[in-house]
Amino acid sequence: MVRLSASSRAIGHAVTATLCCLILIPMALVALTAFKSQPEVYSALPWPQQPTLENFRRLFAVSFDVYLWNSFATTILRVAGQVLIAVLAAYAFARFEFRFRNALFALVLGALMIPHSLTMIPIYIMVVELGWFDSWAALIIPNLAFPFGVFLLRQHMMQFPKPLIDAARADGASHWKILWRIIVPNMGPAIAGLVIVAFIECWNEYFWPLLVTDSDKMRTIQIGIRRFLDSEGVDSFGPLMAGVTLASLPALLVFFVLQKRVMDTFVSSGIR
Amino acid sequence: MAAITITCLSKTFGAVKAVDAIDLTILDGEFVAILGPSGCGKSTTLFMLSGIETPTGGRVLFDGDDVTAMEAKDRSIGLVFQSYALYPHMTVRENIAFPLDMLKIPKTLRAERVARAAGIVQIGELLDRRPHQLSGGQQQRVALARVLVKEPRLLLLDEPLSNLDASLRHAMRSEIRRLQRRLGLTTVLVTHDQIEATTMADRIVIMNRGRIEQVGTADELYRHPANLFVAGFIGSPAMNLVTLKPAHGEIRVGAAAASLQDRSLASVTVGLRPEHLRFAAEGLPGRIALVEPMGREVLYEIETEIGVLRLLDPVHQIRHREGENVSIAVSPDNLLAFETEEGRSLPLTVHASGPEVAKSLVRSESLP
Ligand SMILES: Nc1ncnc2c1ncn2[C@@H]1O[C@H](COP(=O)(O)OP(=O)(O)OP(=O)(O)O)[C@@H](O)[C@H]1O
Ligand SMILES: [Mg+2]
Repeated sequence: MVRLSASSRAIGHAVTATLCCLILIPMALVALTAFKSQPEVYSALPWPQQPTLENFRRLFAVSFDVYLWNSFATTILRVAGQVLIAVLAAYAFARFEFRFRNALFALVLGALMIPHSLTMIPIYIMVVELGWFDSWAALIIPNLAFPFGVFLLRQHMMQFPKPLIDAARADGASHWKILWRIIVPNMGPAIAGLVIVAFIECWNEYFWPLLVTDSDKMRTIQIGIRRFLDSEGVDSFGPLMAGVTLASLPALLVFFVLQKRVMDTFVSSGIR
Repeated sequence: MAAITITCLSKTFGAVKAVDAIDLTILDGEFVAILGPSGCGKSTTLFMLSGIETPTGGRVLFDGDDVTAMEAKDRSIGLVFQSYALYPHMTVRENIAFPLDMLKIPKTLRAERVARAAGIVQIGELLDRRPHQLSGGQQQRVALARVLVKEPRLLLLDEPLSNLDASLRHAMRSEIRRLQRRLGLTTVLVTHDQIEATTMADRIVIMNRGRIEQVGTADELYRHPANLFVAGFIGSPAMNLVTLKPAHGEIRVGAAAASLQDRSLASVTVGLRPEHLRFAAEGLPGRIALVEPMGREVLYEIETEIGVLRLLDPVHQIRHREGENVSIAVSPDNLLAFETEEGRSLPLTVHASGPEVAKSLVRSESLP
């Protein structure tokens, strides 16, 4: 630990406090506005004088529940798939000797650097040709490979104590058993970190679902919220804020549930 | 239980020859210790027996069957690591049951076998703890129970006692030994502690730089070291090694003399164990350079005309002060000779075990 002088600590606290406020104040305004009645929305008072759930009622009147379900289900399936594939790929890269292993791993790292927007159109065309347009498959499958996850888990597996693995081999465990019974149960923090990153990325995704879904029953929450911005004019601010509030809850929840473990992960792998 | 034969076994890591074409036979039910300095290839040899490391040359036979290419999980071995390698996320019970689970032993039989293995090493009351809630000695027992539970053909121990304190190490030494005898388990113990090797093993394999220097019982290694390396490695304090010029094929230390078979040698290295040297009325003259009380015994460093010799005196009082002139005697039966260059042991014939030597020994011992 580096010991800081009192003055630099004070400055540090001031800076972080300011930054926190800059982020928290708009979030608070959004959340508070969600509970305001319609006439109050434009009032100067930041908090509602007569808190109401009216905005949420209006939200669910326009198939918000469908968006919510689509978002939840596709996010959970996609994150589960991403973690599963990352665990398997990471194990192979960390523990197997095979030809072109390093070249292949370099490719995985290379994939980390390619901007999403560059690959979106070709993948879109493939999705359409596969007949997946406007389906969950389009939302889930093209994103299952998760280079960052492979990278993160491989680093952790490389550092996994070799005696534990050797003991398991001597105890009669196969690769499959070693992975799921010995390594994965001891990689909680790394996997928790990965789940947060993957969950937030997927939950907040906007452009890809917009591209590959069309019908109202396939839309996700981030797109659903937009409806209140585009169409219905002035009085839709309340429901919009209610939608934003609801939409940010799951990501926050996931983060708070797993955050203690995640901090360990990023600290120990040096990616802070 | 299994008899083990290894022939021409080698392992290279890049340019490093960790194990260099070793041959060894271990009998069914035998307890063999592999002893050697750090980095000599002990663990690598053990890991090749276990199947954790694949040899780069040679073969491993269990009961005559070639298992060189067999995977660790199929060899039916029990391996205990220096770090114990208990699975941190499992309770003691789950740790011990893990090998049974891998063997697909039905759940109903597992509990009984876990209880039996835990009973053998007396950890029955710890079964619901996790490894981090155990002391070093308890972890070590759990590690033992985990390998005993599947009734392995071969027990492999890689410095299992090195993390324990002295008294616990002592207790565990005899405990493991008793267990091994009772179960008749073929056992290979890797250690760099010669006390551990000599007290526990039937036979000791001395390794150095990837090669086997000598195989024998503790007594054989002590009395007839095959070469200078073994001579210097076995025994504590280490053997005195001095270079002498034989006269007409005869070497002489004080009054003790012995003849070499090869009368043409210009120079030999003579080995004198500190515990075989005695203060005497007559003998090799010398001057005390250093006195080191060791509790029960006293170690003296004495400058003589053939070099500095260490003498371990069984009398615990300090009998001689630094700077004092003394005479040293040794029984000619205790002389060892080695080729100075090659280090191989040379046979000696003892003659003229001068009666005055024996007399002076008696006299010195009868001192208070
Ligand atoms: N995986 C490896 N890669 C490269 N070199 C290795 C590897 N494992 C062992 N070695 C080298 O092989 C030699 C023998 O190692 P080994 O672990 O068998 O020694 P050891 O006798 O068990 O030593 P210690 O008493 O320190 O445990 C050493 O020089 C070591 O550096
Ligand atoms: Mg070792």
